[in-house]
Amino acid sequence: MKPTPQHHAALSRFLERLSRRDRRLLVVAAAANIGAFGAAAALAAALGLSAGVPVGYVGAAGLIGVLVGAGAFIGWLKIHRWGPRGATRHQARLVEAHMPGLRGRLMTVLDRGLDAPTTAWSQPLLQRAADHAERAVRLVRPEAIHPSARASKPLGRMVAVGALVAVVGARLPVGPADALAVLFGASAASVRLADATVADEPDAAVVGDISLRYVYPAYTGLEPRSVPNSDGTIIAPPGTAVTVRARTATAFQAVAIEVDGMEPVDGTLRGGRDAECELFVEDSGQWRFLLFEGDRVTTSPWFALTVDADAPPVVVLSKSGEIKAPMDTPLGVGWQVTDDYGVVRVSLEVVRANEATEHVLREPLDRPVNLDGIASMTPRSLGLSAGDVVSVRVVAVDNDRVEGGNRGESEALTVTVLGPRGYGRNLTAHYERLLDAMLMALADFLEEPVPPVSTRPALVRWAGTAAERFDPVRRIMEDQWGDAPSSGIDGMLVADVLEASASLFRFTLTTFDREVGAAGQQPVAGDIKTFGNLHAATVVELETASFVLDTMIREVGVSELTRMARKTADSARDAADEAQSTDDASELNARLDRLARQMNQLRKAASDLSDEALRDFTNSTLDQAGGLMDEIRKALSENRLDEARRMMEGLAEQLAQFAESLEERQQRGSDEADEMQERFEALMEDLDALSAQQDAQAEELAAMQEDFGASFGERMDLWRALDGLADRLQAATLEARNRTRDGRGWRPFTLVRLEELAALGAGVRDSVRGRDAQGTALRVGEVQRDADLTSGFVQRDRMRPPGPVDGEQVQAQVQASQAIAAEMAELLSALEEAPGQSNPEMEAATRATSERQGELQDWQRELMDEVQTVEGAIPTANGDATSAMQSAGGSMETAREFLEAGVAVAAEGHQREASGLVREAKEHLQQAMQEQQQMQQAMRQMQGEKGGSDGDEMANQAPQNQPEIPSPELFKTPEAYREALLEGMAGDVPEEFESLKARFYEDLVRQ
Amino acid sequence: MKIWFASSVWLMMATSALGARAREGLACLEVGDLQCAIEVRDRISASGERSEAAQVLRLRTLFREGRYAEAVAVLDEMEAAGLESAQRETNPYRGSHAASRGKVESTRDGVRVRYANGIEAVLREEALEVMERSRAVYDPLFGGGPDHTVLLDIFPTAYRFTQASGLPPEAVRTTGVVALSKWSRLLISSPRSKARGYGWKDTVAHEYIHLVVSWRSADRTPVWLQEGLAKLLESRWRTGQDSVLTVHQQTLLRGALENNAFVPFEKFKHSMAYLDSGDEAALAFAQVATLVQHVLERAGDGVLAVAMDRIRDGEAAEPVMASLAGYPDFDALMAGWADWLATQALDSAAVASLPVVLDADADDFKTDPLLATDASKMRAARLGDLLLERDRPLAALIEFRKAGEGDGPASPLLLAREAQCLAELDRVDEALAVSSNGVQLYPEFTPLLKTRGALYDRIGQPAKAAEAWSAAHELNPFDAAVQQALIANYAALGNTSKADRHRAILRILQTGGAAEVAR
Repeated sequence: MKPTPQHHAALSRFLERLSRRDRRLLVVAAAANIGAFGAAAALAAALGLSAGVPVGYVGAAGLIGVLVGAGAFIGWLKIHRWGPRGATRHQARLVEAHMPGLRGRLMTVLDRGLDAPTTAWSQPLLQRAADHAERAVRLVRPEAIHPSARASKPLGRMVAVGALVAVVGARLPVGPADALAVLFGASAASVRLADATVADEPDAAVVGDISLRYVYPAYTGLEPRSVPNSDGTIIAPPGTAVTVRARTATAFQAVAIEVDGMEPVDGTLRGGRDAECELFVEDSGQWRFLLFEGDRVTTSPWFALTVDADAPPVVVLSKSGEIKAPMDTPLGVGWQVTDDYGVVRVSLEVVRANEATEHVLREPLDRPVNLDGIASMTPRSLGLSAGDVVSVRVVAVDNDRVEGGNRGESEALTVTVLGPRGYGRNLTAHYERLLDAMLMALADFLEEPVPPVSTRPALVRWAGTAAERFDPVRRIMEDQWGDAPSSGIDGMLVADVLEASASLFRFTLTTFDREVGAAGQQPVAGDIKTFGNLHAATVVELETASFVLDTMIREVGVSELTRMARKTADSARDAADEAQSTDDASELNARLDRLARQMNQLRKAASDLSDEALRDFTNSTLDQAGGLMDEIRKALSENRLDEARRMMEGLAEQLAQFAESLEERQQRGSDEADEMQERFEALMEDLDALSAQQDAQAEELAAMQEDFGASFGERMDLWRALDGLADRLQAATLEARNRTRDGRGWRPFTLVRLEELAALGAGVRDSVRGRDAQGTALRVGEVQRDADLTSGFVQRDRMRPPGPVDGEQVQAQVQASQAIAAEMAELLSALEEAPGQSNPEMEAATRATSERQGELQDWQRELMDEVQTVEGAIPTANGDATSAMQSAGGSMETAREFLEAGVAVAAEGHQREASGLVREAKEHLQQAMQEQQQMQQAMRQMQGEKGGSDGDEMANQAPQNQPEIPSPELFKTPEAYREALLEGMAGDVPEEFESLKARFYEDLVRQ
Repeated sequence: MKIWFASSVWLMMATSALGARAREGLACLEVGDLQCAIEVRDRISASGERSEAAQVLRLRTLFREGRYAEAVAVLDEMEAAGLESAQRETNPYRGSHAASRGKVESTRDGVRVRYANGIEAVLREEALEVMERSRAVYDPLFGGGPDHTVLLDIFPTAYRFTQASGLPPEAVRTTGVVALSKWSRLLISSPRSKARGYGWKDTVAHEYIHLVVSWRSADRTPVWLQEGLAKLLESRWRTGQDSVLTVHQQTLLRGALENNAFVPFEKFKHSMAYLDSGDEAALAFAQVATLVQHVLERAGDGVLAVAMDRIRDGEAAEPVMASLAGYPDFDALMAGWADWLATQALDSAAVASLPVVLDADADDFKTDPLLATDASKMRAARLGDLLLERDRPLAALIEFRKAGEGDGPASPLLLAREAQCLAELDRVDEALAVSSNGVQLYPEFTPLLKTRGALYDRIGQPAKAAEAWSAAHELNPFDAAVQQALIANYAALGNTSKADRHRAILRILQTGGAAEVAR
């Protein structure tokens, strides 16, 4: 008989129960051991933290402990054979061991009972063994096999350890539980602080030798920075990690840093006194050290913490308020963006009817903190139409990753888009306002006596009030163009006027502000003379500006009048023709109404003309035409149609005559301009030829001197070198003076020194030109001495707060003058050593050339008249060409006198000077002509025409002092960028834009 | 006349019957006898003759009569017929026709005035008056006048005058010719054609003198004598006195006398219009006028008719004038004239001819002899104007005086402006003195007269004001302000007839001559 499955199941259940208990006991024991270990570890951590061991160290130790514990646990489980304990055979063996009487029956039943029946075993025996085993196991209690004591021991240990930890931990500043919390992220300091006794005396902890180390967030692009000997103030952008190191006066156990009541952050304390904490800058507030000693905490004073947040970019425009922008002209709004950490994008935002569109201006490849440019898109390219009034602002976005990019906006600019005619009207109105302001200032200057007052203090006061005469001019320019100066004709005129007046006021303030001695308050004659000259120069500039503006306004007005007169005459002709074929009086009246409206416009155009004769002529013609129209209407109302027709013919005839007259006038003006242009061109050629011939004569004289002795050649070389240096010296001294502008920020006597230095510079140049070695040496010596003294004055003025503008440049120019003078002094010494005696043959040869010099003089006189005439015909000219030509005549005369005296060296110098002056006259004329072209361009704009010969866009008159170079990010590669630039530069530009092109090249080279 | 008659008869006898009559008419025209030519033409027309000579005669007589449209029709006809003489015609037929569009005509005893319809009507009455009085004064003086109605053709613009005169525009612009006596009629530009007007009435008389002299001498009087007579006698129609040389002319004459730099007669033997400059023309006029004056002073007005007869009869003008003046020959006359001239009190002042400024070339400064040529002075003057407009008379005065500084002739415009500024500054006496000096130097500069009139108005002296305004009116009757001032002043003086007359002119100006147009 085979053992029944019931036997087997009963045995198995029993054994499994044993297995479970075995394992349960093992788990409890393990848990108790872990608990004990954990408690011990917590106590250790608490001890460490309480002793001020850094959390990191404690944490690391804890981590090691955990790892060790885990390993030990696994080992322990292995030792205690967790796996086999689940096997029934293992349990059966334990039962067999407990009940030796079983004598292997249980094992046998387990091993054979469930196997396939075999012949090897006796079934009855097996049955009996099974019965026996079953009865036996019924007698065994599981506790007997696996006693509970196996778990109670570890539990006891755990309790003991726990008790110990509790007792010890309770006495620690950081208890075991707190230590665990700290290890899991809580602040040890806060724990200590909660139970600590705060020192009676607040801020008692003395800390010093504070040093800060900033580690900035990556977006700022800033390098880490250390600040030794800090006063504790932290200033940093958000996200910055600041490591604070300090030394305490007394030793402590632990340190933490507290920021404005937030949970303290633990620091480290080396040697009980060297504290090091780290904080992350988030908000502005204050911070302090918490220093722990046992359960006592001492605080340091509070230190400031200022968040230097990445402020939005600051965007500034060159214009403000309202501007009028022509349809096809670049806006020309200069913009400048400044950000503390970098700009990623600049765009132009245009708001029209509450709908904003954005046009990217720049998206730089790097992240510059300063970026500027000119918004050169035209209203048309922005999708605007004539008549639109939009709000425009420049928007910049920075690279702040905390906030996701701050947005900085400029002030909104109201832009009224004008069509060509609208812009023309706007420009005309601007010039009219400017003319009024200029004339008022001119009248003030003209009406006052020179000098306006008689005492020094009164003159100084006068300078203060007279300067206000230009306030309206400045205001008008600002209203039209914003802060930046106009690059158009008006900008040029205003700049000249202001420069001249600045010289006058500067001189007045510096000259008459000086202390007076016994001489009293009366200004000296020399100063008054200079004052008079500067006053006159201001008047001349005002006159030129006023005249140019008036010429533009008048010519444009006459042109407009002529155009309208023709239109009106044509309308009158149409009306007269229609009158012949219609009997409809109402139709004719309607025609007359239209004509009347046109005549009113014509009358208005005439009333705007500041030309009495032409205005009277127009008005009288219109009066007559108006009277005739009244009669026509009367005839029409009385049904006298034939009379009306005849009168309409008469009206058409009258208006045709009027239009013809104006057109002929225009044509004559145009013919005269053409003729003057031809004369100008011929004059340019003549002046070139004259200066070339004078140069050739000087060269010939120089060659002659070479022929008559090599020593002359040496001297000539020295003089040539001196020529160049003298020019440079004059330029440097002049620049030093001019850089003082209107004298603000400079002490009067410094200005006087600079004036005198400039005069000396000019004197040196004259002496060199005259080949006056002695005079040159004398003056060069004076320059050396004066420049030294002046440099000291300039230096001291620069040191005085707030310091003058351009002080550095003034200093540099003065120093340059010194250097040049020193160089000249060396050459003069060499000149002194070079033999320079003439000989009779050379003197005779020199005299022989005087006749040809005389011929050149005759030619110069002829050209002088032409220069005067041509210059007079150019409204923008101010007489400089004539003056230069007069001086050239003087130099030629002096050269001739030297030639007649046989003095070749001096003659040659004056010949070269004359040649230079002739060229100067030519340049003045060319410049005036260029300015006139600017003036004509402005006139075309006033008439609403597009500038340029081929209908290009109107040149922008808005500020455009810097050439605009395309942004690098617009090109795929640097090569493409370079190519595009070179291609652009290779193009021809009108003569008046040559200087702009040159600046473009210069900027490109710098880029 | 005798010579003309003899030649006519000879022509009639020597040529064929058909061509002879036409050529007779042409010969009449050659000697300036328009009436004769008209009679011949009419006879030929009645006979139906269509010869080429007859066509030419028709063409030329119609043109001389001022019947431009008909003349152009004849010319077209000749051209269409391929007549060679049509190509040879140089008279400005078509130009005259174009320049005369829209004109109307007014006729009185022996005179016709043709003017542009509309406001040019302001000239009508005074033009007729000048013509009538000229005929009354000069015909007897020269021993007779044209036997046809004399046409005065007034052109509203210089452009149209140039068109009608056939003169080169450059010549007109250089010398400022505004009137011509040619083709048996008088052609003048309206005073409106010059920026400031001009002494148009004396000019009409001047041209009429040319016509009479030409007619009386069978067009044989040389230019120097023509111009001398016309210049000297041009004001007799209104004053009964010979013309007085202007300060400018006296200055030029004095300079020429001192430097023996007279304009050679040869230089203007064809026309004064071709002289180099206004100054040269002014000197030439002064020379010949004083020469004639010298002759008349020695021989009396009665010699004029005799001279005309002798010249017409073939004697050269120079010996005729010399003998009439009691000199053995012309050289002696010239020497005597020079001696006589040296005894005359000739003024000397820095004055110059007024520049020629035509039509609407009304830029103030181009009418001024100083400012028109010196851009820097013009610039200062312009600034003065701008300042004066802005009520800154003192500053303006400084600019005007600055403009007047230095070399060059006195500037009439600157004198006028200076007077204006002084008046604005309540320095009226100074202003009057300045304007008085200006008027003396430049009597034909209208702004000075207007300024003077305004100054008298300001101080309440209507008689003197009327005098000044009237002088301005004589130069430029188209200025409504002048008319208004005259109306006010004549009304104040109780001279209602003159006030009414100017009121009528003002009415024309204000209505654009509507009444005239409607006619």
